Amino acid sequence: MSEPQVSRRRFLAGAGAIAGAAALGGVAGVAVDRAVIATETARRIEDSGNESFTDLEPFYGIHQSGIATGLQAHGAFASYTLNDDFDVDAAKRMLRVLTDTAAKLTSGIAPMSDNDPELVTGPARLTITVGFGPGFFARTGTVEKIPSGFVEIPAYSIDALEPQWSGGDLLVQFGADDPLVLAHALRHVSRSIRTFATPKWVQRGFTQASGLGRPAGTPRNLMGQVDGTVNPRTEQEFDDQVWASAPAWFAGGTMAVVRRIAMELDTWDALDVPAKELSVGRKLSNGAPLTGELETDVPDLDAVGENGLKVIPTLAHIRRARTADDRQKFLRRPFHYDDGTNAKGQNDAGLLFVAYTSDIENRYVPVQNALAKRDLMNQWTTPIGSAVFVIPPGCMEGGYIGQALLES
Amino acid sequence: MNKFRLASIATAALVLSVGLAGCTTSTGDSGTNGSASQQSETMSSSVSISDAWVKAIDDVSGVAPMTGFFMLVTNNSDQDVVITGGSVPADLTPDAVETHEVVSNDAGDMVMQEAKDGITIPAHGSVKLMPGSFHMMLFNMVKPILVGDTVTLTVAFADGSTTDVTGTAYSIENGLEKYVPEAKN
Repeated sequence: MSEPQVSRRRFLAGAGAIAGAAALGGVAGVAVDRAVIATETARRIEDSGNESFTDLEPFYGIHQSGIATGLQAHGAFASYTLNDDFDVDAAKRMLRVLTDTAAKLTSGIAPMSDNDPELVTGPARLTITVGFGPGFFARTGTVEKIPSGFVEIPAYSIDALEPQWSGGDLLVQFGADDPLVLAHALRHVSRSIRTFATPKWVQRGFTQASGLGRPAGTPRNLMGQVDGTVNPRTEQEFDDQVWASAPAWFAGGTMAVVRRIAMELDTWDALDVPAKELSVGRKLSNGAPLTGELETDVPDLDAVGENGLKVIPTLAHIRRARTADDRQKFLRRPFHYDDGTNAKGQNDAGLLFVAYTSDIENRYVPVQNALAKRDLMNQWTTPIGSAVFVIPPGCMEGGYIGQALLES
Repeated sequence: MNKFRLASIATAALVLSVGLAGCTTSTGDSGTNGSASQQSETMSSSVSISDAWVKAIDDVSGVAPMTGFFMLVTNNSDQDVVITGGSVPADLTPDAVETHEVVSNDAGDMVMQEAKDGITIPAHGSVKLMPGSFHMMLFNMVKPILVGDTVTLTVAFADGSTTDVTGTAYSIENGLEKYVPEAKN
C-alpha cells in the first residue's frame, strides 16, 4: 500500500490542540504540563527544519496503529518470552505500562521514567503495536478465548526455520520514519517491561526514506519486484480481510504472521530480465501482469503465447498465490532486511514478510500451502523464521491494550 | 460503516468506560482536587502535579528497603510553595515519606540525603522530581511495589495542606546513589 489509510495530523497542530484544551480548565494543570513538554519537542523539531519528524500517527482508536498505517521507512519486530512468574495479574500491570509508554512515545513525548528523554526527537510517525503469541493465552488462563483461526503456520519442506527468528509469547511491533526514534522506542519499551518479559528476537527492516520523496506506488522488494499489488486499500476491504468481528473482545483486532524470508540474491543475479519476470508473472518495469499493461490489470491466467505455453507460467508466483476463494485475501506489509554478508560471503538479505488477516487458518494458510508446494520463487527464497500473533483491538485513553481480553 | 465496525465501536466504548472507572488510580495525574476546590488559598491548591510515577521495588526482604516517588510539580501562584513530606498507605510502609535530594560529596560521589528544608517550587515555576535529583523517599518498605502497580502519595506542604497524587510503578535501573543521611556538613 502506498498511501496511509488512516488520516494523520501534524504534530504541531496536535500540540496546539492540547494547549487549547488546557485553556478550557478542568484538568488544566495536567494539560498545560503536557503541552509544555509537547511544545519543547515541537521546537526541537522545528529547529531541525525537517517536517518528517512532526508527522503523528494516532495511538488510541478502535484498531491498533501500525497495520492500516502507511508503511514507515523503518520497522522493528520484537518478540519476547514471558518470565516464569507471569500470570494474568502481571499481564494487566504489564499492558498498562506498555500502553502508557506507547501512547507517550508515539506522541513524541518522553515517558517520565525514560532515562534518555533527549532521544525522543519527535513522533516521526512512530507506531507501537502489541500482539499476543500462543503462550500469552496459556499463561493468562485465556486459552478458551483464543479467536478461531489462530493457528501456527504448518511446517513446509521449503522451510529452514531457525529458532532465533521464530515464535514468542509477546510481540511489540515498531514502525517509524526515523531510525533513531525507532531504536529508542524499542529500547525503552524493552526496559519498561523487563520484569515481565525477556527479548527472544528482534528483526529490523526498512522500506524507503520518507524525507527524500519516496517513489509513488506499490513498494518493491530487494529483488526489484513490485510487491503488494493485491493489498486491501479501501475501508471495506480492510473490514473484509483484516479486521476481526468476533469474539466480542477481539472485534477490531487482527492476526499477524511474521516470516523471515531469506533471498538468494547471488543466484537471482544470474537470471536475465525475462526469466525474472516469468518466475513471478509480472513485469519488472511496472508490476503489470505479463498479460497486461498496468499493475492493476487482472492477470489472464489462461492466455497462451505463440510458443503454445501459458504466458504466465504454471508455477509463476502470482498464479500460485491467486485463488478462486475471495476469502483468501489479506494485508501484506513487509519490510526489507539487509544484514550485510553471511559466513559464505553471500548477501544476508531478504524480506521481513508480515501479513495481517482476521483468520490465519482459513484466509492465510491456504495461500501459503499453494506457494509452498509449487512456486518458482521458492528457488530463490527460503523461510528462515516464522511466528504468529493475535493483535488485539486498540484502546481508548484510560484503557489499555488487551483489557477486553483480560477483564471480560 | 458496516456491522463489524459498529461492533468494534461498542467494544471500544466498553473499554473506555472501564478505563474511566479506574481513572483516578491509574493516570498518575492530579489536576484540580478536593483540597483545591475547598481551600482556594493553600499551597496544595496552588500546584498542579502530573506525570507521577514510583520506582518499582519487588524485594522488600533486605535491610531498610526504600524507593522513590517522582512527579512534575507546577506552582501556578505568586508565592513559593514548599513540599515538606508526605505519606503513603501504611501497608506499604509505616514510615513517613521524606523529601530528598542527591548531592555530590567531598569525594566526588553522588549521594542522597534528606532535603531538610523541603522542596521549594518557585512562584510560577515547576520542579521535576526525578532520579538523581529531588524526589520523595519511601523508607522501610514492608510490601513490594510491582511494575504497573499504582501508589497514592499524600503530599504535605509547609502550610499544613495536603493533596493526593497517584503514580504508576515503573522499572528503572538508575537512582542507586548511596543513601548518606548526613552527607552535607
